[in-house]
Amino acid sequence: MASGRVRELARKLCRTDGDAIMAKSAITPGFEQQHSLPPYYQNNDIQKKQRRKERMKTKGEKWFNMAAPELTDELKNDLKAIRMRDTLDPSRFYKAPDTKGIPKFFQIGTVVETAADFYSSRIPKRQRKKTIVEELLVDAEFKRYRKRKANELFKVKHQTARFYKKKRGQAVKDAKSAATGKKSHKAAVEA
Amino acid sequence: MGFDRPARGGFGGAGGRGGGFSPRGGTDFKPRGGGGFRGGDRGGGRGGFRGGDRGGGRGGFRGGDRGGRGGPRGRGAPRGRGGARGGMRGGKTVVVEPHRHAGIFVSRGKEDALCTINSTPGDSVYGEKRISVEGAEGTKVEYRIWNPFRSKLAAAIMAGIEHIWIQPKSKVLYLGAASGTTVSHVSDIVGPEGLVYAVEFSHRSGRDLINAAKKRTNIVPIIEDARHPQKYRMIVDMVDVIFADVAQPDQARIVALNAHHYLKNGGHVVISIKANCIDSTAKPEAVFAEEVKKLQSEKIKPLEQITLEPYERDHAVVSGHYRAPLGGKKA
Repeated sequence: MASGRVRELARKLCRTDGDAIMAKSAITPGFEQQHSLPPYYQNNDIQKKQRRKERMKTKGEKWFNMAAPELTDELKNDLKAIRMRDTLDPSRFYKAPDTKGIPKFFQIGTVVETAADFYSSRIPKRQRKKTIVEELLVDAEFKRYRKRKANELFKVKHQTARFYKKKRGQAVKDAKSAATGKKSHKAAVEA
Repeated sequence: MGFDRPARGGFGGAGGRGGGFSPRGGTDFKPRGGGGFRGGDRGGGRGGFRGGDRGGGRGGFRGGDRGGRGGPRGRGAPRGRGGARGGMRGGKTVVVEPHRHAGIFVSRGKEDALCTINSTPGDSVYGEKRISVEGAEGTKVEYRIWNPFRSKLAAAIMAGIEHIWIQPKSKVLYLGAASGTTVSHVSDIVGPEGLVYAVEFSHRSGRDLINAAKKRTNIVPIIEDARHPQKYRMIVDMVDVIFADVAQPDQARIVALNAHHYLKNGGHVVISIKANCIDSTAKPEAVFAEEVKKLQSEKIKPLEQITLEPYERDHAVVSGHYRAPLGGKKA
């Protein structure tokens, strides 16, 4: 009979659900796998800190608990594209962004067209993209503009680079001739 | 801001400084040419009493006064470059961020737009565009774009008003609800725990209002004259904010009456004043000053006044503090 009672006790001890005695027990299923026991009592400061941490995960009730997303590279690039949107279209003017860095709370959404919308105010399903950057990459008009702009910039850079190279080369030559006492070709002609 | 400053941006001039989209109400980026909502959005005037001004013209304002109270509220959005590829075409990806004002969001893409959380997903009230967001674990949130050319409250926000006093969980008495375009957005802002009592006298636009209220449980439509607040005393509870867009010559009196009946002490009043409707011969600035004086005599302490210039002509939004606690305590 004793073994029966022990078995019953063991079963009782292993139960954690709905048992008032076991409600606060630290011996829960999977207990042996824990690295350390969770503290039974936590002081107020720690509790406050934890609550604060929990609170900071969303924007709060005033914005219907908008959550902070996990920042992936795609998201970062999208936000960057929006920040630099004044470079996307030469015919548009934007005021400078008034915030610094990436926002903490944001969501990526898609514009839903209404049934009454005409073809011009919706994008065909095939051309729809998941991110803003992808949208930009398939935009032919933007592509043309970007190419032209990039070419212009490279041209300027190239020119200045050659200019500097020439100048620096000349300076090196002059320095060499001064050191060896030989007159450069140019100096000889002048003389 | 001090109240002595009559209005930001000045009347009749180019727009105010427009802190609309900025989280801090500072500078923002607005496309050139007046219209924040270019391209795809062609929110035509409801009611359509805009005889003959359908010509081209970019942004800006065409002449002609639009109707007064109730019925013919032709608040149309200006037409942009017709059919140009706007940033708001169906299927475009945008980023939604919280706005400075509680319960309001900003969608950022090629164009920026104010938006509110749609309490009835999959449904748009007056043909406005929607933004659908798929969150983690298959949760779906939907936002509705809020056009400042059709809503004076949105215009006030875009113009950079400091406080709209309407926030989640607040109870709002909305006078001059018309067909419920702005009311639907206010109902989005206050959320399921808030309440909007929408008063409208005109049966014609009241019908639309009732239809909007059928799907939104936090709107209580009241088809009554706002001049007689005792008529709806059995319906309306104490409220936190009164928003009035009645455009009547005795507007200040109407608002004060309703405030005495239903506004809690220390509650707030936000009034949109249309100078033309009160005195079409006087200068708008003088009209606004006169109205503010009337409010002051009714225990409403004016807090700020802002012009809706790029969006509406000769309109101002004035906010006030009703029976403000003594000792200059902040609300």
